[in-house]
Amino acid sequence: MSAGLRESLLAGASESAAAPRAGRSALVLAGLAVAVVLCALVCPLIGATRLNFAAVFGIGIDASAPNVDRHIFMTTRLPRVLFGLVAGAALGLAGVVYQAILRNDLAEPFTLGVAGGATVGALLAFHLAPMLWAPSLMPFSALLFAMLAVVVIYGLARRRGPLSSPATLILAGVTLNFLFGSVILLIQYLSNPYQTMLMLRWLMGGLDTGSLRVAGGCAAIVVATAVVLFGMARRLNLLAVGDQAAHHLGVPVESTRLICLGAASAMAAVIVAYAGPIGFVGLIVPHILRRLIGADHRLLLPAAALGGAAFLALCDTAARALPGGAEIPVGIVTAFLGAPFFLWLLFRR
Amino acid sequence: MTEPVFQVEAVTHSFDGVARALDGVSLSVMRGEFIGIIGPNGAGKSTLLNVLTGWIVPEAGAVRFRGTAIGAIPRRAYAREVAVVPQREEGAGAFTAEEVVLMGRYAHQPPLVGFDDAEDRAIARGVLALTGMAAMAQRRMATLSGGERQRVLVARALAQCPEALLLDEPTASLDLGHQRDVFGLLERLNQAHGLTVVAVTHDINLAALYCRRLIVMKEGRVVADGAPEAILREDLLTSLYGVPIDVSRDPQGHPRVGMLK
Repeated sequence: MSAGLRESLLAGASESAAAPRAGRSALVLAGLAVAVVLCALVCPLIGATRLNFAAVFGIGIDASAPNVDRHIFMTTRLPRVLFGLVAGAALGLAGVVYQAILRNDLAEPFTLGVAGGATVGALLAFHLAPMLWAPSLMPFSALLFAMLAVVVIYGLARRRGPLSSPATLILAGVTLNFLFGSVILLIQYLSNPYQTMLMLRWLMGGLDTGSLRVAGGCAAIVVATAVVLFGMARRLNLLAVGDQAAHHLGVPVESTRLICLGAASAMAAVIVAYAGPIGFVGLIVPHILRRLIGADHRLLLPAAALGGAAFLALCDTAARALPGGAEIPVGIVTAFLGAPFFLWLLFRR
Repeated sequence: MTEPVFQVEAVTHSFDGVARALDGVSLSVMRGEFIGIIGPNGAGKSTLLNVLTGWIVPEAGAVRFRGTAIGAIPRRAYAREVAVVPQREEGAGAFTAEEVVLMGRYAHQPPLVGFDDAEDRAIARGVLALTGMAAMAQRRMATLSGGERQRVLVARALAQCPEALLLDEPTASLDLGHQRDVFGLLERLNQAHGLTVVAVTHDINLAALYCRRLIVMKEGRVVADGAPEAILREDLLTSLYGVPIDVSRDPQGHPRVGMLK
C-alpha cells in the first residue's frame, strides 16, 4: 500500500518553486565563511602592538633584518586567533546541540553543568599532578569530569520518566554547578598562592594559552566530533520537535541523544581544558542564527560553527584592543555580552 | 483483509505500578481495517495506541507488527510502515509547515545528513494539498491555528507513505467541516490504498460515521469489539459512561448517540 499512496501522491503533485529561504540561508552561510577567513587574516594584526600586514608577509622590507611583526604574528597572535576560531566553533555547536536535545532556549554547556565538570577536572589535574604532567593530563581529566556531569544529569533526569521534562535536566545542571563551584573553591583553598593565582586567571577564560600545536590538536578533535554531529543534523531536527515525535518518525531516540550529548560535551570539555570556561557563546550565536536561517539543523549546525568561530575571535580581538593598551580575558567580554542576553531571553516570554 | 497487521496478546501495563492502564488486552487488527477506539477518560485508549506505536513497552504481553515483535523492528523500518498522528505537538513552532511535513520523509532518506530530494518535496506538496494546507506551506507552525497544526501532523504522517496510520484524537481541535475533511480523506485512502486506520477518539458519532469496527475500552480492558451498529447500544453506552444515553439513527442509517439530561 505504501507504494500505491506514494505513486498517487507523486502523480498529483504540482511543480513549485524551491523553498524561499534556501537562497537566504546560502547567503548567510557564505557570509559567515568569509567572516571566518577575514578574522583569521585581520584579527592577528590587531592588539597592543599594531602589526603591519605587508611586513608580516615580507612585502617591501629588508629580508635580512629581523622581522618583529612577522615574529609576533606567527608565535603569538595567529595561534591565539586560530585557537579562538576553533573554540568558538566548538562552543557554538555545543550550544545548538544542547538546545535541540533539551528543547530549551537557555541550554548551553554551562547550564548543564558540563563546563563546570570540565573545570573541576582540569583544576584537579592541575592541583594533584606533578607540574610537568599537568598540562597533558588536564584535557583528559576535564573530559572525564564533563562526561561524569553528563552521566549524572542524564541518570537523574531519566529516573523521572523518559526525560519528559527538559526543565528537570536544566535544574539538575544548575544544582551540579553549585556543587562544582564549591569543589573549585576547595581546590583553590588547598593550593599555594601561586597556583591559586594561575587557577584564577584560567577561570576567567582566555585564549592566550594557545600554541599552534594546541590549536591544531583541538581543531582535530573539534572537526572529528563536528562530523559526527553533522551526521546527526536531520535527527536533531526531529528531536527538537519532541522525543515522541522523533520516535514515531523513525529516530532511535535514546542512542541519538547519547551520541549527540557525548560529542557536544567532549568538544566543550576539550576547549574548557585549554581556555577555561568561556560562557554564553553557545547561547548568543545560535539564537541570532536561528532568526536568520530558521531551525533546520542541517544549516544551523555549520552556521553555528562558523558564527561561533567568528564571534569568539572578534570578542578576543576586542579584549586585546582596549584603549590604553589594556588586555582582558575573553571570558569576561563574553560574560558582559552574554549575561544581559540571557536575561532578555528569560524575561521575553 | 485476512493478514493481521497488529497483534496484541495479553498486554498489561501500569505507569505508577498501582493502577493498570492496560489489563490483559488482546486483539488483532487486520490489513485494511478502519477502527475507532472509544471509551471514557482513563480507559487506556491512548496507552493502547502508544503500545502499537512502540513508544510504550508494556510490562507484560506481546505486541507484533505483521508477526514480528515491535521492539525487534528498527525504528526507521517501522516508521516506513506505521505512521502516528499525535493529539498535539508543542516543539515544532520554529519550523515551517513544509519542513514539518518533510520530517515525515526521514525514514525514507539516507540515515545520515539526509537532504530532501525532488521526490520528497513532491510528496510533501501532495500531502499538503490533500489536507488543504498547501497555501500555508511556508508558514511557521507557531503562527498556525490548532486545527491547522493538526492537519499538518496528518500530512506529515501521510508523507511517511505508511501501511498503517495510528491517530490519537485527530479531530480534537477541528471544526465540523475539517473533521469531515480529515475523516473523509482517511476513508478515501483506506478504500483506495488499503491504508489500515486505527483512531482513538472521544467523538462517538464521528467514529460511527466512518469506522467499520469499534473497540470499546474501560478501565484498561476491552469491553466490546465489533461493528458500530452492533456496539452502539443504549445499555452498553449507559453503563460505560455512567450517564443516560439515547441511540437513534441518522437519515443515512448510521447510529447517532446522544446524552440525555
